[in-house]
Amino acid sequence: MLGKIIWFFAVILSVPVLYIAYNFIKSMMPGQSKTYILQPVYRLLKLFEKKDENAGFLAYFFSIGSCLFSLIALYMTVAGFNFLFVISVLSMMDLLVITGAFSSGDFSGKVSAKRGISRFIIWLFTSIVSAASIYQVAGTLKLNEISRLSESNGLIVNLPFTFVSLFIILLMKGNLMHFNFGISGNEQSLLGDALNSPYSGWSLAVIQLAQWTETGVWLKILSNFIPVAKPVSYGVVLFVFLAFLLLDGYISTVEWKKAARLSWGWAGGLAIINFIYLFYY
Amino acid sequence: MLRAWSEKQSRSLIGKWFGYKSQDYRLLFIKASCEDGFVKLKYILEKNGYIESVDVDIPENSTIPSVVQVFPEGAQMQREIADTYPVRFVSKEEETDFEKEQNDFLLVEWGPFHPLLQEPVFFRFLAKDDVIKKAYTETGYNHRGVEVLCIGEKIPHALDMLERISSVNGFSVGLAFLLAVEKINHIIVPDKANYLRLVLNEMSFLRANLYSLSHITKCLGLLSDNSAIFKLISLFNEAASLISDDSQLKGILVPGGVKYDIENETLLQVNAILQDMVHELTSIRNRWNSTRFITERMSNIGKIDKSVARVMTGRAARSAGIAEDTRKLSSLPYHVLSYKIPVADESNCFTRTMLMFDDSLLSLSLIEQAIEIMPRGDVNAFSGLKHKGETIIREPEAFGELAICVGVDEGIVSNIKIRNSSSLNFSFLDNLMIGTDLNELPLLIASLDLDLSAMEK
Amino acid sequence: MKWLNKIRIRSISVYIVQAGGCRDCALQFSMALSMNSEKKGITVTGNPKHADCLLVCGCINERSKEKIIEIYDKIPYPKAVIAVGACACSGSLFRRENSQLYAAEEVLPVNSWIRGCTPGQAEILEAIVRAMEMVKETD
Repeated sequence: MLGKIIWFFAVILSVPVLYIAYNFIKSMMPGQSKTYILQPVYRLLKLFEKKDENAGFLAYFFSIGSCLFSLIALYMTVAGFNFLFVISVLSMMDLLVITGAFSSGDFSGKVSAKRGISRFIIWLFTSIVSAASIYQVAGTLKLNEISRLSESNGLIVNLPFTFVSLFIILLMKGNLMHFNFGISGNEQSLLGDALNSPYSGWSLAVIQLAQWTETGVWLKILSNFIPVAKPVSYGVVLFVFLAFLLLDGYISTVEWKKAARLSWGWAGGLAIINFIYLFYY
Repeated sequence: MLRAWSEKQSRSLIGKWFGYKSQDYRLLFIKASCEDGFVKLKYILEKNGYIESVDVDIPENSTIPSVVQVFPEGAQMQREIADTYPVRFVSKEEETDFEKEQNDFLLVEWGPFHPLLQEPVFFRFLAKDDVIKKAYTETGYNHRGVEVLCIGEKIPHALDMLERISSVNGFSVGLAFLLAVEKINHIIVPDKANYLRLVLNEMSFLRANLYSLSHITKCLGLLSDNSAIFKLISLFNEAASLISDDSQLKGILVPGGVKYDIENETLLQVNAILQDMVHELTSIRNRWNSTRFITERMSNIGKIDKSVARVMTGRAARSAGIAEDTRKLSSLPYHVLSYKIPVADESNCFTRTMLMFDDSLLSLSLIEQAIEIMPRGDVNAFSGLKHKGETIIREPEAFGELAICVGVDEGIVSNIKIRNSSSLNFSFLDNLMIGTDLNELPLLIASLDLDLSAMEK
Repeated sequence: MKWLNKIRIRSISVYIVQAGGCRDCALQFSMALSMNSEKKGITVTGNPKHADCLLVCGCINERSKEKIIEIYDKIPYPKAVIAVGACACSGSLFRRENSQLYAAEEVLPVNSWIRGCTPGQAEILEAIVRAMEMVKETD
């Protein structure tokens, strides 16, 4: 039990640390805002301090709801629950965020809700196909079993494409590379933090926490496939994700429909290829 | 209540416009004034340097046919007049009823202030599947009434205001104004001052282009190249600090030349710093040229037809293959320098961006050439402002052609009208945006080089 | 709770409004952000709901006035308003009788003024941090 609790808090803390590292490296580039090392944490604390008189009940409802679901998903992940359970809780979280964006009624909310749904369908499809592949290889969907099996049998040898497609889900969630749907994360997008548009002050802070936790959940899920000891494998995935965060600065964004097409191809396509390979060969 | 012109009057006016249009005349600008209950409109038309005008006097609160049906480039100038004077322009096209069509489409509002908009402007779109079906632009958030404020002012004071009209083209506007004043007062500017003005003018072009590029990199989401361009801007500021305290180069121009002499050694230092940019600019340009995601994405947006590009100015026209050389219009000694105007085959976002790189490189080459042959001598030959008159000057600015009509009476500005490149190009923005994806909008607007502060004055 | 106050001014989101000016003040600000200044933690945002501080540049005219007030209302408390440059502080050369231009303080409760045409880069960042400090103390 203690191990699970330690993992739970370690994952929650690791994502801000990741963004701290990213921010620190980015602020060394000329032309970018100079930031403090602990900038993401300062931002969060500041947001909790703000009072927004215009924010309605719904903003708090959706933000707290999504944060709660993300925390449940994280607990399920570190406790080694069934992969599909985690996916269903994450879907609930995503749906709450999307409904929250749509409920704002303004254009950016509506547009980003649409994009959010598109992203939701892609990652859900990919996850389900991946789950089938994982079951075929491991005979179980329990994450702690998967982790044990990868360490002893090297599951990733049979699931290379599934691993990549799950990693692409992480990139989609982080709005990185060519899988950027143009919602949240990037303050300078036309929609300007659109997914968060009904949120400000501490409801925004809660949403931010939810997104960090969600990233943590995916990082933890991915780390289960690396055939080394748990902390090392988590570290490896964190490092690779940081590399992609930094690489994003060197790659131009694409139009969101193209991002959706590429996501279908890479995430969905690779998952299916792995699935077909496992079932027919 | 609005009084409409009779059918006969309207037809006769439109007929006159068509007459000039068929002879290949272009609308240079529209001047307006209000006297004794009448709004006086003067349509100034130009062809190969020849100027013609069509004068119209209409009672206040009347309607008059819109010039857009004959000269589409006049849309923005006309909008400006309708905002300022009691007159309404009517065209055959019906105005978009946004409220009515909201059921079928998504109403999107963007602006007037946003980090991806260089200047305040407010857009309303009707979009379906994120693709813009109809667009409506609202301007006027930048209006300061500079033209009216200049009237009755002494030349140096008016110059101060004009240099602050726009951060990127302020120098060119100030310079064009001084050239007009000097022409009216028959002041012959010494050679060295002319060369210095040329160098400073090119430096202001370079600065404007660098800022445009930094904006494009932001729209593309390229942090690394954005940083590289910022480095170049810092280089420019370093070079400019050798000449003036102000990176906009304000306060150097005076009637009759320049305020103070700049030593040749300083100029060589400036040139050495600026030439460091060449390598970086070329490498970014080549990288973009060979990155498929960038070329594909940008080539598909902001396409301008050649027939439309013909009446536009600056990069919008040059990228469509129209070799418009605005530097040729200038009275500065551009003719002694060797240069080739960069052009492209098809006007789209990508070719326009590539021309931004080419134009920056061209400015750097012109600066180097001018500094190499910099003559010696005085830099000011001010001989007093005693004459009276009015003149039209056409000069280059960073984003195209600048036309300015100045009236001076013994050192006092009696009349001024400025038409910068954006006044022409902006008229086509509404149509250009149709069919564009919402995501690509910042890129499209950034590639058009709109300088709204000099447009709205 | 001194440490908390310190943390608050270490993350400042700025919303820039360029109301009728030459936009050099805003360009100076973006240059200032990228310079090796000691002032850190200042970022630009495109959403007033996420902002802490409103930076007003340029002379405000009738049309931009309405929009600026609209934006100001959207910013959650505690918030600061900073007038950058001569135009926003006083209307500069362009302000005359009946010119229908406003200085920032006539439209919004301004916390800090940065004079000059164009103001220095370091001053802009300094003023933002100072204004936020002041706002927190009075709040």
